[in-house]
Amino acid sequence: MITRKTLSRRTMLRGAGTAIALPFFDAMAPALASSTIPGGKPVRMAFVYVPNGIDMRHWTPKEDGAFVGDLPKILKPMESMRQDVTILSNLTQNNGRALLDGAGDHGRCCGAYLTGIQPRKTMVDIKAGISCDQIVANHVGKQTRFPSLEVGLEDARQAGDCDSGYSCAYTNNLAWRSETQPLPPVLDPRALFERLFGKGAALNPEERARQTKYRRSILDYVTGDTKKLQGDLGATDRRKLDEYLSSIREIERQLEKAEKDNAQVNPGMPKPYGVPADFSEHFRLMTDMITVAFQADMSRVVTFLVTREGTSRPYREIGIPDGHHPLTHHMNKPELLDKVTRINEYHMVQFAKWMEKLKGIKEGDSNILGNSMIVYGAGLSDGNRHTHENLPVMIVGGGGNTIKGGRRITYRKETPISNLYLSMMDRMNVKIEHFGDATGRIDGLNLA
Amino acid sequence: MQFRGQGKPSLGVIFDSDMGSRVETALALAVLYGLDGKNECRVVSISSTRTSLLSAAYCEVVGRFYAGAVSAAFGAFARTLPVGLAADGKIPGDTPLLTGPLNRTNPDGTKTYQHGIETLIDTAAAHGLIRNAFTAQHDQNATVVLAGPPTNLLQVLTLPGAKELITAKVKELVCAQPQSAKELEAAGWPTPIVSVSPSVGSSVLFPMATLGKEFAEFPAHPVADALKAYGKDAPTGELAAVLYAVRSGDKAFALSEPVGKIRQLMLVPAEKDRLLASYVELATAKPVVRQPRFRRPVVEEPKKPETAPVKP
Repeated sequence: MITRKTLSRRTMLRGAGTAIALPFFDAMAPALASSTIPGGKPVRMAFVYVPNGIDMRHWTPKEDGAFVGDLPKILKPMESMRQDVTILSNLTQNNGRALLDGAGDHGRCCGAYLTGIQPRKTMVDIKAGISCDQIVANHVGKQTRFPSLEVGLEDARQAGDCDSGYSCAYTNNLAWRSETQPLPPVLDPRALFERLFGKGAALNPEERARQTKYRRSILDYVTGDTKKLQGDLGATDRRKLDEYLSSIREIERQLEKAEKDNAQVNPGMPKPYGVPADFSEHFRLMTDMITVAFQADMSRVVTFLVTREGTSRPYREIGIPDGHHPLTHHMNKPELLDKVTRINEYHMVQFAKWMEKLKGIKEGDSNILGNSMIVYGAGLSDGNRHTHENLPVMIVGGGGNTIKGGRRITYRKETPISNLYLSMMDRMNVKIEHFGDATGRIDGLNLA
Repeated sequence: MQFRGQGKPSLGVIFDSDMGSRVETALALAVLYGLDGKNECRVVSISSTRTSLLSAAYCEVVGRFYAGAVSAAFGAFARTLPVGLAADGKIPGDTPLLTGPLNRTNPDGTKTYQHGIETLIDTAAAHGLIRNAFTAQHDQNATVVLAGPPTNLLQVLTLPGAKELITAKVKELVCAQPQSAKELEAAGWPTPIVSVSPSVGSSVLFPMATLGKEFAEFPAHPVADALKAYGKDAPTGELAAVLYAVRSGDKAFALSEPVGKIRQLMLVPAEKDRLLASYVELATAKPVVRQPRFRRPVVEEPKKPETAPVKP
């Protein structure tokens, strides 16, 4: 007779001001179905946006269909996960184009990217449309602690002119809750950490320093719950719990290091508290927390604005002191083009590390990446000419065993990228008839 | 690309046809590019309901002939606009009107006319392309010319918000075939419709003789090659549709009273000779290649040697 009691998927480790969600354990599955995730597979959807277009010469695989030979230069960091990668060609964002509104492609392309709507050219009464991630968040968000997470690395200004009369709200946000309400990304890792794990009010730096002095870890607050839970788990789940709590502790260590490092940073730099000086560290810290959020099913919808559209951020860490945006207006000069490619590669290296991490976390009979759809791309293809057709679009992950990777799919020209979003929403069990400028759904993603 | 403060651009024309079914469609497209070359209109979308890659390829060949590979005229935004093509429906056979020009070769064996359409992915879905073309036009500054069945335009009407968009942007729809006008009216096409009377096409014929005169100035001309493949004087109903769409005030045209939304386009008999002269002039006009206007490569000019100022 089977008497095992199933652990609730909603179990949390609780302590003063703290509630830590848990990853999926075998103990949460019904008896004799250890690899089945209760309530079905939690499919996740994320959008990772890089600015100023991508050097398409080194992005697009030569052949349509299954990948043959090495991946192109920029995609090279994804080589070990090539079977999880799908490149989609010829998708277009028509509403990023001028359409009578003149200059401002950077502002428009980012504002239109997930909304499928041409943003109003203004710095005051901003207007775009509800973004596809928020449509999904409205439908599935009740099943998780956070309907969606908005994360970024660079600039959260919401006002002012960021491109030829377009408000910074367009260049600095991906997610739009409504046509007038963007959701600014969280840039500060500590703020994201506290959002995910801390229930108390946000602390100012002095209070945080005082708190830090008297405690070692947020895990200390949940020691009692942790011990109790360990007693209820089998050996496999105990190991999984240890790994999970270790990953949280590792994030804390990174945060502490970043905060320590920041004390030595020139205070003239407008950098939020706790933001690591090193870009790759910042990227890793934020994506580690998204990973934990996915692992513990705290949220299934993420937008990640790597840097703001039109950014002139230099990349001195890889020997490029020039601003990213000016470089993309390279006039086809080889030495400038080469730098653009290197920035594109650098971004991809960071992204690939994150994808490897997601792939390494087992979930049911698959892994988190297999149960995710992570779109990596940009709102422009050629940053020099500001083109809005044939955008660089890559989906990583199997979408809960619904997407066949390891290939390039080329659609007919001018196919709206909104068609892709409709197909992704289907996979999130959000069935809507129309979105943005979609003309239908895209074919060919399926396993068959 | 149209920028605020630069004034309203010339009329944007969306040309949808079943290119390859009749020679007059090729001539009508030539007339349209002739008008574009005179800045009387802008070709903002080309599409075909004939589900044949050759049909799309021929449209692209004509576009490239008149406007160069990348041009303001063909691309409208300094980019090469794709040709829209209906992808569902019965695949028709190839016609000499298409195979004649497209198979023409140079003495060295290479194709005379180049195009980039090898598979369906080299084309666009016509309804999306046409809808996008509308979005880039000023209000009431676009006209649709339909020279064939209404398949693509009926599909446009099914897109959410399309009727409102058409109402805002499109002045009128000019149909070369009466049946198409009726079908679109029945489907709720929201603008006034002009339908070319069947007698218009046969009352003025485009002369084969132009092959030995006006077209003879070109070493190779894809429209002349289509006319050659046809082999006789061509009807001009579709040419009338294009010319009326752009020059609606031309005295050669008269309109009937509307029945529903549709008015019939008729010819003024006394103007036939002048009308024919206009067709020939426009269809055989030399291409006007526009310079790409966006971010041309910077060419550093060598410094001029300093010289002493010349005293008067």
